Amino acid sequence: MIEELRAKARELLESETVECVIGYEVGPTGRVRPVFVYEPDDVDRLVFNTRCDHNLVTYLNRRNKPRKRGEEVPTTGILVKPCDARSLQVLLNENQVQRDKVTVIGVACPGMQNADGTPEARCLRCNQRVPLLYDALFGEPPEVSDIADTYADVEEIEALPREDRLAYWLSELDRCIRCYACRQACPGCFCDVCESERDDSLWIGITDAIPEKAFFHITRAFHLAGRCGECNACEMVCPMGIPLSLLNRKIVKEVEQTMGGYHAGLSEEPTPLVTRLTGEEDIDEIH
Amino acid sequence: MTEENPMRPYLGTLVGTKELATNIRLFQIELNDPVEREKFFVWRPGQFLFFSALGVGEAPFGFSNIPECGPAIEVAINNVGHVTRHIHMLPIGSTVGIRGPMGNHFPMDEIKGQNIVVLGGGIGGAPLRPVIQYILSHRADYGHLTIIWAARSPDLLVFTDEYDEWGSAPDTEMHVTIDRPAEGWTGNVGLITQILEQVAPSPENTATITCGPPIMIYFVGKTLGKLGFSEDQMLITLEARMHCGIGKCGRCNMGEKLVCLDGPVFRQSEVSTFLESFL
Amino acid sequence: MRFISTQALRDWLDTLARQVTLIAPVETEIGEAPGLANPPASGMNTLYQPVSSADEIAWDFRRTVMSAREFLFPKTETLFTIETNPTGKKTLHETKMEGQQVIFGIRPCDARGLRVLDAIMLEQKPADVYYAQRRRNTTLVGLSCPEMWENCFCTSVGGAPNSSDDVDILLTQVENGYAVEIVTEKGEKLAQGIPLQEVEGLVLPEPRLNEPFETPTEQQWLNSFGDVYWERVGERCLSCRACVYVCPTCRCFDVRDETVVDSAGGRIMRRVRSWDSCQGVNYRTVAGGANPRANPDQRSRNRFFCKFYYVPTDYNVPFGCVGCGRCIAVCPVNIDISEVLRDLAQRGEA
Repeated sequence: MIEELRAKARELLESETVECVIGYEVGPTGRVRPVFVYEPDDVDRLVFNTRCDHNLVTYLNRRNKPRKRGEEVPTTGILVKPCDARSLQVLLNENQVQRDKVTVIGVACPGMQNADGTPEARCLRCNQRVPLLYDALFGEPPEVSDIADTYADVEEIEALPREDRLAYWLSELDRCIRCYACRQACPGCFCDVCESERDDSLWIGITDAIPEKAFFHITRAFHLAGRCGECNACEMVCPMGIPLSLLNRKIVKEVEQTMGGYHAGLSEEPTPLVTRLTGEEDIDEIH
Repeated sequence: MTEENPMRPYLGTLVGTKELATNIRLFQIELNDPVEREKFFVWRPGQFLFFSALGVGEAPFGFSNIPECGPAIEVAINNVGHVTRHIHMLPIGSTVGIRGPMGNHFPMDEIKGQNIVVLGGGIGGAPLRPVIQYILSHRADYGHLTIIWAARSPDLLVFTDEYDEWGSAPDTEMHVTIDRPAEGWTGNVGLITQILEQVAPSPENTATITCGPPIMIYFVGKTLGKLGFSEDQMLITLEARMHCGIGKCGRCNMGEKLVCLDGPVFRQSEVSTFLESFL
Repeated sequence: MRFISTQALRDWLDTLARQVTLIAPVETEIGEAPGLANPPASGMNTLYQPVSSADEIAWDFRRTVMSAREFLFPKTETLFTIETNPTGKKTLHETKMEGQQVIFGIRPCDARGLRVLDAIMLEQKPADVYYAQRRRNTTLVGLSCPEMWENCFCTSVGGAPNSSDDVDILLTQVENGYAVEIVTEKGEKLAQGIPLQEVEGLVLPEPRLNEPFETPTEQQWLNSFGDVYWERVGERCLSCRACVYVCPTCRCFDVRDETVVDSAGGRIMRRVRSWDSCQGVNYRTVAGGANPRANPDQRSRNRFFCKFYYVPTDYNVPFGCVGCGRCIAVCPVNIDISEVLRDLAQRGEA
């Protein structure tokens, strides 16, 4: 599979269909990391294995504008797993990325693993093995076996009494250091100036006070409502191990249940939270 | 606190303001505490201070006058961002915060006996006014003074009511120019580099002092080079975003140079060796 | 050689915790959430935190997630407040640090980090008075590392896992207790209360070391500045800033004012400073919108140069990096400072 993928990358670069191919490589210490391949002879650096858990789509937010005035928007080939493809679909729906500037190299995904070899919890929940969006597809889709309950961990928090839920989140968010790694890794966070980093402190200031940190995370989860592709990048990059995806998936669950099963990134319809609330349909009736 | 705290502002009162140009206003401040006032009143042309709109924020600005002018500290401020917008809303009599004086200064002693060419673009003219004031009040110490003052349009020229006084000082010439023709303007029209080439000051025993947007400093430097000046003769002042002014917050570094400590005054010859471009 | 038994040490720490703010490595929930894809390795999920007894200390810890710098240079700090009473009278009040603190179990690399911060915050005049106060009121009781762990490279930047250079007291674990080296006068003063025994023939274990490597020369750094190598390193950077926040020597900060109006019509304004990072997208953006470091490769290049060229040039320390390896562990895209150092050191002089 990898040989065919590399051949495709080579063909895209040699024909100048794309300026670069964004994929994964193995670094000198054995860690898998993103790689930007510009030269056809470098395609042998590309790999695909169970440690390729980064969502590369976030890099497209930097490549969607001309670098200099008068130049064209650069062309990119990008490797996507099913979860990454959902993020890409959201960006396409929101006109953040031009479809004709991106060549989507889809890979069938066996599920990702942690460094210790155990399967990643998010992959155990996932029922997609093949991306819904691709220009070329590589790899044999493996059998989808037992899928873990998508919302078991969300429901565990939901079941707590209100005071315990609050205490849980205040304790988890207390560790937040406002590094913003979660936001930077997220393809759906592409604002030039984040609401929590404004010079005029319009919404929050710069301290590590709990109300400010809680405001940032809850607001970010709401800004991703109906747009989060559940790639888990936010939680994976957090240096303090905060279970951020619980916040996002709580809202994913609400959207699914109130918007007729809608999940972000599965179709060209952008989030119904923006497109369907015209006053014609009552949300409670759907529910 | 037992030691002097450079992050703590002196409190002062806004005693006056003067409109200089579109969005540019001159602020006049007097420090409240006489002991602090005496400690502060040693600033030299080229240095800067931090002006606090208390409760809103703080930003660095160059001094626009010299201590000899009187009890008020004068600072020209352009309304471009969050802090400056609030500074522009301050009523006379407001309490403000001042930290400083900070940074190095123009080497006025070193350039004694030389001819001086002062080039100011837009609000860049504001930190050059103390230089002109200093030279005019120590006139015999300096040779011929050439002032070339520029702005994009007439409404952006600063200190227009002082041009006559400067231009008519002994052994001094003043040239003012705007970028493009404007209705009612009968003076020079042309970029500062074009006027500079026309005036063509001699590089013999001359120092130049340039202040303005980085791109202007760059092209003026190139033009001065064409006229025979060495980079060593060119003094410039750079600016950067700052939060402390004392070399701690790390924000103003250009390579290994910190604009707040190693600058803001530099020689062009030094700047040309910077790892990071100032552009 | 002086020695303290494990029990005597724990008893002393219990007493100490009642006299000063005692800070020590504590185990946390980092890594416990089931969805976490990359939980920290064993012994690496700790943080330095205030403790009230020796029982709370994670005695088997390896490296904390965050360094110890937050106890001398807090993540958020109020510089001063100005109270305006309803008649308009203003009173300025500077923040003072009250009381003493002891950081117990600080690793030699983290202590070296504080030495680097001293050079920037104290030795470079004018000194930062807030840092100075905290530094004066802090005593460091270091704990030697039994070995160098994954990503550690302190020996390549002039440090060592059992170095006593930058602490006031250094403990090294031996059988049944700890060998005690009193290093400074401050350490001597703190040690007055410690029941130490004189023991003959105590052999200190040699820590297992990682393979050291050459770091680039000043000229190699200078020659590389414009190289496209930095684009290759930086293009995968997410500007997530995690590297800066876990670093023992980073000290960039942002300053903001906050105002609160109280019920009587008075106002309290406080000026705060908080940690910031040169890796942030808008770190150098000026009013008006221009950004001289708009690309991630310019920003990540700045970080490496700052650690290995700017800090050594501007301040009295040979390296701005202590080799703790935290940034390597935490970077989601494997931008590895030791890889960069090796790459640059292998280039020719020219």
